[in-house]
Amino acid sequence: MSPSTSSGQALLEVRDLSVSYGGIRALRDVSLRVEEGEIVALLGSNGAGKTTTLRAASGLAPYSGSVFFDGNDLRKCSPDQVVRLGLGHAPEGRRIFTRMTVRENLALGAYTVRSNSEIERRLAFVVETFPRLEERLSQSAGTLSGGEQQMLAIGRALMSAPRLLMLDEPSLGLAPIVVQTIFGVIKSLNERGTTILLVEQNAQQALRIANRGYVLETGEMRFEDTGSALLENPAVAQAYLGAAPIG
Amino acid sequence: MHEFLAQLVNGISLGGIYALIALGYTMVYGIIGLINFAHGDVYTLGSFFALTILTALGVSGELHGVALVVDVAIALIGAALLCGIVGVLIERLAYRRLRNAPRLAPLITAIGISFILENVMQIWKGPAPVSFPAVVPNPSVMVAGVAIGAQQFLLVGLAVVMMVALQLFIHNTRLGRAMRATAEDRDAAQLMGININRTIMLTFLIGSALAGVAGFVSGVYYQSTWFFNGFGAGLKAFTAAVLGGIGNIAGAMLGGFLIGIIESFATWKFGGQWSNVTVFAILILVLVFRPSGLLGEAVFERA
Repeated sequence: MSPSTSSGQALLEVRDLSVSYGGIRALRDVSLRVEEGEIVALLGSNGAGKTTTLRAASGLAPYSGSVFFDGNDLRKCSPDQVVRLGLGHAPEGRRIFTRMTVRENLALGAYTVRSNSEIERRLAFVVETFPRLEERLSQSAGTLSGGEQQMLAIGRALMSAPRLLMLDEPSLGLAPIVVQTIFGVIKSLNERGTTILLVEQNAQQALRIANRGYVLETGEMRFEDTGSALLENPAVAQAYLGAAPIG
Repeated sequence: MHEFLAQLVNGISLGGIYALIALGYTMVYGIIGLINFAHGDVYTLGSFFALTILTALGVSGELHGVALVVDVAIALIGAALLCGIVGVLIERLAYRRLRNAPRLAPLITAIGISFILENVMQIWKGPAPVSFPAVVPNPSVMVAGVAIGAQQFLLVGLAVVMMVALQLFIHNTRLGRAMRATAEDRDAAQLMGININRTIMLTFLIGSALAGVAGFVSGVYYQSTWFFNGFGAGLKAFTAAVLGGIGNIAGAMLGGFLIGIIESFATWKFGGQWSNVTVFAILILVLVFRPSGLLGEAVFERA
């Protein structure tokens, strides 16, 4: 363990993050932390800045402020170096490589790994997690259903064996039964030791599995609390849960 | 029938050169969405580098035996390597900083680089055509009544070997997979841990090295070159890439051979002054009626 983690620093530490797109502020002084072993939900309506937060952390969007992962200053890292440090990211809209096979997509997920036996070991773990993918390994990824594409996007991110996995709207546009599967997998991955930062519009479901949650509103952090407290917070409920809190 | 076959052989030889050049156009377009108009001049540079290397080796005429193999290999690999380095430098110095600029900016820059290369080559070897030593002996074999020269076999053989090797590399290696991933979705590729700067550099290296190979074989085949050679050849190779479906590697090979054959037949049937007209009329027809080319998917699907 590096000395920085033993000194009580969070696994992911975002401080005063601001991002602008062509003069428009997408994020203003956003701070959040994810401790090792947690599931943290990042909520907010469309355009609140959830995706931008993840993109900044991965190095895909330029920002001011600071992002530390496992004690490393990510400002000094290119996106590919961020992945090597153990920060995985299954992006918004899945972004799978549709012209490649499922197997090729998964192999790319382990691009940073040279050992074939290690890649095979991780592949075995992913198909155990998502048995649906096993039958589809040699199929072109573009022919998968929406749910299967989401499974592939998560599986591909798992191939880098991340310590912290950032998931951007994994339930978007999926049938309720598939959503259940995905959330079940997120929970079981966490139980096996992967820390999760979960971006969701499906706030109810996300907060039910989350230890803590944050709520973004038009680029600024509005609420921060435990998952259960946010579920019961009337202001959050009204704005983001679409109904009275479920008791 | 005899003349038809002879023209077909000529067309395939010419097409091998176009196909090698077209690969560079299509690879660079596939990965950064840029039509690299300086690419044709890199091809001319290939001829110039090969010529310079042969001169340095003291070669001025036909070679035989071990000297043939060794000197040809040195000139070929040297030209490919030097062109590859030039391609990488062009990307690093000119295109990289424009990667997120509006598309017109790198396009105009490419034309500018083309002018720079042409002028540098004009200063280097002069404005007149320069002769290239006929290093490879050219005995011919009769196939179905048509004489096919050893140089034609070498040219087409080399082109085919390069293409097969490229396909194997792109589809069966880790780096090849990274290139395809970068071409399909740059951000997603970075989230896989791919260093896209290195991948794009590799694309320029390979594409430009193939142009260097084309420059060498065209020098041997035509025994002449000049600083402006790449302008016309580059435009025709670009046409070949568009015909095959720009961004599509197999398409560039198919398009290259088709354009070579079409040009050869146009020269035979309508006369040499009509060959360019025919080729570029095909470019216009493809752009109007099938902009995605013969093997291309939707051309502008890139986000």
